[in-house]
Amino acid sequence: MQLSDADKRKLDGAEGPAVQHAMEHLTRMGEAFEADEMVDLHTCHLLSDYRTMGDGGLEFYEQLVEWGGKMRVPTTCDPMSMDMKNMDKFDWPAGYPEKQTRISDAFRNLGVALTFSCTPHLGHNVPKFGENMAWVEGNATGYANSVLGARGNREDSITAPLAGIAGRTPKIGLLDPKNRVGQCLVEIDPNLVERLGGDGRRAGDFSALGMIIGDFAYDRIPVVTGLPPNMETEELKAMCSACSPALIGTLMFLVGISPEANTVEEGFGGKVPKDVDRLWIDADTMRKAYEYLSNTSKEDVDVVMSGCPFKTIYEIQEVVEQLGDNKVKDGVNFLIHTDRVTHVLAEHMGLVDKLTNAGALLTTDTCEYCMPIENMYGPDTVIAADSMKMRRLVAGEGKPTWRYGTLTDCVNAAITGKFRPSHWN
Amino acid sequence: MSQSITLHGRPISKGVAEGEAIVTDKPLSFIAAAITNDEGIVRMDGHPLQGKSVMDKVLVYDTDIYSTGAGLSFLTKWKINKSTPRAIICREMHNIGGGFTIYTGVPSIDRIQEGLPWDFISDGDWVKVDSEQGIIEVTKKS
Repeated sequence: MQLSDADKRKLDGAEGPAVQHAMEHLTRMGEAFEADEMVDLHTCHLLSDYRTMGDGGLEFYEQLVEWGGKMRVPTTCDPMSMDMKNMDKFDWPAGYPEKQTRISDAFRNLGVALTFSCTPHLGHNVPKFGENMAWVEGNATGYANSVLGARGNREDSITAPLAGIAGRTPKIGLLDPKNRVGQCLVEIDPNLVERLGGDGRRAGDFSALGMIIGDFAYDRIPVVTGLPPNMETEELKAMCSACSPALIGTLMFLVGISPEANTVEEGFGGKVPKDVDRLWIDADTMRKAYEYLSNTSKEDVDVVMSGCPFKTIYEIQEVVEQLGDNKVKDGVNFLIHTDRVTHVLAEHMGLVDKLTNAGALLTTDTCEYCMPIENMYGPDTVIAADSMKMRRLVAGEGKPTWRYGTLTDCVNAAITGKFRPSHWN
Repeated sequence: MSQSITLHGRPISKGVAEGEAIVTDKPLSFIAAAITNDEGIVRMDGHPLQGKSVMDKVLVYDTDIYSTGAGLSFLTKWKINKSTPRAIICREMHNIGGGFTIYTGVPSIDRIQEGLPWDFISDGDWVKVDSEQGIIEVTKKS
């Protein structure tokens, strides 16, 4: 790998120990993955939650601070393990608030914007076409690559901050334009398109659709054709959440939406290969996806969650509309997740009061994935959700069981305590 | 006498380590929610390795799926809990696996020239990974 003179100076320690440490790692990464060169980094997004990083991660960040590390590019951060605004509503394990606070302190010193959001691409870190990212959070990186045309891999949580401190990153994977070429084709039945999305169904439908595409493409770049015209931001957000629990990479060429794929041919770099691997998605595929995503047939639910990825303000309005004048059933926890900035907006618009009066909780800066869920819910807990990502990541030995449905199904479950799927049956 | 096989691959994280193999052809994630930090036990829903520990093993898997948080979870496993595998072999190393093995110095290797790693390595085989040279020595379990 060819290093510039400026890269060499950083590697030699001329800009301090944090930059040197970062460059040593990035150089090893570039050499291992056969990069020709490093490129300038434009934006960074870091892992925040103590539950995932543990003490090793906390000490890593604090060491970077001690070495004088500073982020050289706009840097935001992912959700944390706790809802600091609603401390009394959850039973956090001993030591969690202190550890999570130390992570925030380290971030302040590193110059990270304390957004604690999994949707930086919709808020305080919106990259432009062709800009280079070092982002944790697959759903965000997926959206930024696929919808905005920015460039970035599903970045490792160690490498991301080091790239931000160095302001450079090796040109590997999706950072290299020559690797941004479609490898398989996904076609959507026009009859299905007419039934996709709409009020109360956006997140459920497009999150499931993303999983179908991601499971098929796996570690290839899919070119997706036949999507509905004028897809909404929230629908694209839900679909791109497939990037990590289904799609290994973070680029789906969405024909007519992705700036690098105005046509199917362009998605494949000029010509569709004759023997291209194809997937046809119709209503039956969707019905099976919904069925598969429920890993219990129990009707009685304990928890209802919506907001993975975090809710936009318009989606919070949608929840309020779906609830109407109804109340959440006693004994059911209805949790809606968003970040602190959107929460302030929702408060200002009177939406928080409406949700609170109905018995629902709009949380801030956290979700079931980041929270110490094993201390909160056991395998007997049944959670209804309209997020494929949450359902997939928070499942397995000792973890809760899930019902998957639309937001309408979830709101009805919160009101009645019974999950009864209404869609794709 | 046990059968021995020599394989060749692309070195990712340089080093030498050996141990008993634990093998899957499926993807894995090292996030704390998917492989426990304290004992390295796989908890992924329906995964063939569910309930098994990867600690102190030579781990063979496809590539890294799920959360980007895996890197810092792996760092905690390595630094605090000492629960990581001794070496990692992937069909195709994701930059996530590359990041955490390079940072911690756990030897890793991918792109086996002879074919898919699970066609040559099985659970219980003794495997020496030399990712300085890009060589894997497999002693089949007798």
